[in-house]
Amino acid sequence: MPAGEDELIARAARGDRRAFRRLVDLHVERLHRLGFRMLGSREEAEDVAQESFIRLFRTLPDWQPGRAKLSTWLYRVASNLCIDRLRKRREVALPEDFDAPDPKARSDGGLEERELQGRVRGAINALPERQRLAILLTHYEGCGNAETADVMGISVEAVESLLARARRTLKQALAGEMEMM
Amino acid sequence: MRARSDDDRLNRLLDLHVAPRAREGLGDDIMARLPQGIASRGSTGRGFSLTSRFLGGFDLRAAAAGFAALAIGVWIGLSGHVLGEPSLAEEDFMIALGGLESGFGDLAYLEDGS
Repeated sequence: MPAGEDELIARAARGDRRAFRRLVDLHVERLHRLGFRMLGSREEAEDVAQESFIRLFRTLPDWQPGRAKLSTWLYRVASNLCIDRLRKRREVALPEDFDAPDPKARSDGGLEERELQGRVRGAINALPERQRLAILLTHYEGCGNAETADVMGISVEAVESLLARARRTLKQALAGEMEMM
Repeated sequence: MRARSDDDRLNRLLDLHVAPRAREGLGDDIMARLPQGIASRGSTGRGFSLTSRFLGGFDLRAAAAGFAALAIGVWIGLSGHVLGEPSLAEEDFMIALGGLESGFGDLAYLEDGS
């Protein structure tokens, strides 16, 4: 936890909007990143980040220092919002360009590298949502298994199981690409 | 040179899935969407706030359904339709209603007669 975060939370709970803005600046990037990787859309990632912070704002008066790490709480809210959105998508027809790479997210690499990125992204997106979330939190967000379990509301053993299955599936899906590495 | 393990190669592949940085004005947008005051009670994750528990969402519908059920129950009790014959409650109600009408009649008479 960054130094002084508890103090920022306490000030924000008393109505100090500058303190809340500081909390936003500290955590918005991670929520946007998780939302983007879960949903594949910058716009939806922004919506998830915004909604997560609005929920934090409403929760601040009841916040108990030391009970939960702020980043863990925010990841949990954002994860739930992402999963809700993924489930709603199943109820409506997906646009034809769904899952197409976001042009703004492309690296400066060549065509071959972009194609490889696309295959990796496709393999991750094909994972069941809980396996995907476990991989995103541990591999990309640097959460330990215990924190991932806390975010997902499951046991550490369940996280380990999800990760093992996800990695096995990814290795099968990306067997050809792994040969080149 | 030692060959990379499968896990190492998978991790290197996963690292290729880059995410863009958040838009610069996103923090401003979030601040603009915040409610003006801090709520006295809040929600966590999927929950409802205390206010919405009473003024919106499922509980308002539940309250309306409960009120409707109560009204139907009172009506059935008064009319005695369940047993097919007038209940004591209905008779009491009609007597009370008659008294009320009589009271209003007297009141109108007094007003007219003044």
